[in-house]
Amino acid sequence: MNILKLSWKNITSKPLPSILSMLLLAVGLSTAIILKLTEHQLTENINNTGKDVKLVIGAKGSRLQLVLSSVFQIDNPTGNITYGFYTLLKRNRMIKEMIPVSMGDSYKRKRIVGTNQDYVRLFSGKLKEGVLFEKPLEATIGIAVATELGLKVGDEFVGGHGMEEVLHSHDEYKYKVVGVLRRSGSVLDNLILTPVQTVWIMHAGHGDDSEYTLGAGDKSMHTPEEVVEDSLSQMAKEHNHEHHHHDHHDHVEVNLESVLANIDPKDREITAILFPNFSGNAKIGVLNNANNQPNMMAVDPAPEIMLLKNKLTPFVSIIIAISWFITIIAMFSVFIGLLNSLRGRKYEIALMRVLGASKAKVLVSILFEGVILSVLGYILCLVLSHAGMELIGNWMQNEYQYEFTGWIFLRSELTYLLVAIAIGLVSALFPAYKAYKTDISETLSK
Amino acid sequence: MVKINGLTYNYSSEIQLKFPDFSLSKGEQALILGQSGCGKTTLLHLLSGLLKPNSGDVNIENEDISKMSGAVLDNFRGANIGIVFQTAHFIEALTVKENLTLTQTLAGKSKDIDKIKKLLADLGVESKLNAKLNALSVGEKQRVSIARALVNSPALILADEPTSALDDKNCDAVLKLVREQAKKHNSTLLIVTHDNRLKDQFDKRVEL
Repeated sequence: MNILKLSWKNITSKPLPSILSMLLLAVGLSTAIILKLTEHQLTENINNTGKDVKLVIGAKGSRLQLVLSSVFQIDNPTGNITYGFYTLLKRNRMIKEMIPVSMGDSYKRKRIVGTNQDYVRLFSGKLKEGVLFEKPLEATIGIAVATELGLKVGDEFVGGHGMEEVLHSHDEYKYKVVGVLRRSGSVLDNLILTPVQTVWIMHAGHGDDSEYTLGAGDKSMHTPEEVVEDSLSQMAKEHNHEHHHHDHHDHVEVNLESVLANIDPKDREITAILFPNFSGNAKIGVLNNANNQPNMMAVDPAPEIMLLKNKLTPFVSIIIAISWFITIIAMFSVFIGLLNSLRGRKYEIALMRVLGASKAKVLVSILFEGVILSVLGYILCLVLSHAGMELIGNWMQNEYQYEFTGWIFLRSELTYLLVAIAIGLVSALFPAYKAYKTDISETLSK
Repeated sequence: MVKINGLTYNYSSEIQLKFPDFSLSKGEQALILGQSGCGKTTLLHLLSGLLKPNSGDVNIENEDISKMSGAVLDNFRGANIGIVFQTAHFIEALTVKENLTLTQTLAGKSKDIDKIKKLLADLGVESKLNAKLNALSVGEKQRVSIARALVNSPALILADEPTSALDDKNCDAVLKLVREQAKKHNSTLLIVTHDNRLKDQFDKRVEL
């Protein structure tokens, strides 16, 4: 029976007040840790997703909204731009890489993005199984889409128009899963990727109906139409070529081809163009070019992200303040709990001294009680915060198209163990001092 | 082995207590008699080093404990003096066994469960080994407190009114147990009491 064990027995013999102190401490620290976990994952997502996009071109509107929608897949698109503008820029030799993205459709709340394979490379996406999408209606899906919706290579599904709620099912055509991507910690995890042509095919025939245009579409921006014609014929050639190698797909291919060929150039739209790895001169050129178009704008994501982070700072500060508030209440709870428990144990303290315990030993035994409570509180806090993060993560996933998880552990969580121990020690200090000062003779005489 | 000399203790400038000199040899059993308020408990606290005398000295096992202080004194007390109080108090969070092992370790001795079992058996409470203290009767608690005073085989056992709360039958039984056990462990026994029932049973008596 050593001092540590004695402290433990003193705590467990009166479990209710101990549990209250522990819970308060755990809730206070959990709030702080959940905040840390969220911040860590958000930053990771922002970095993994945003760092390689140097410029975005999209329809005029809120600059932040354009970045959020086309880079982070969070907000609704600002509108559409013509595919023609994309092909026009393609002729510019200074631009090494550009990626079209076309949004507006979804399958079971997972966004479908029409793009090209460079999009996968942009986020360092690696295939887990299958291949990357190549032809219209082929889809390569993120790992979260695969696991949550139970989709695998070879499966087919029907997409719908709308990103939150499906307003209209595109049941004429089915998507076919050709590949699943590995977890990348970026926006890829939650997306269904397909060629931009798929989006056009899905929307063919609805082009004139405003209900079915993508996003908040501005329909009056189809300027460089001659370029569109070029790209159209080029695409048709490509598909004729492929046709010979895929005999068993004849029926669908012919069908798609004719559908594709019949799509009016002005209905060939995309939501935005992403530019990775820009050389400085090219950037200025593209910026000017885009900003001179009546319905387009070019936005550098970095300052917008910074702006967003700054907007979030007050909220983060409030949560931090709340977590400290709860933690300080927890400290008082440990303090009052120990003081209360010691009041009833004054005679026991005197008894320990009679039995040979020094003042220091008594002091240490009370400090131990504070520390044991706080370490237990910390352990409870780890359980609460990670389970809580997992729960909140499930909810946030739908809001932010990013998979938050409670099952990651940060090194900074260990710092909170030190914080917890410090809280235990500080709140036990005065009760321990009182025990240290106990007048044994007087106590025993009563 | 116990010797007090010129011992005084001042509660305040008005209340000053002066104690008669006396000495006890090893294994001797003696009674300190006195009415309430004459300083019996004070003497017991002086003898166990819980209080410091204003003058005089307290020799136990040839050590003057009035000169000791701090952890040295606490350690000496734990290892050499066992005390039985009028009302038995324990660490309530612990079982009988744990209270007794704590007594061993606080005195700097190693845990000895066999000795504890044997003591409890001698005192007729061996079945209470793993019981919580609040499950014990007053008489059982007093027996366990005797076991606690004896568990380190101290040189000196001090008993503060061990029988005054007990009826005649229990008084005899407890007294018999304390005296037997003190003899068995070769401990000097000093009982402080105002209980006249004990008076005739001791040859050596100090009246305050």
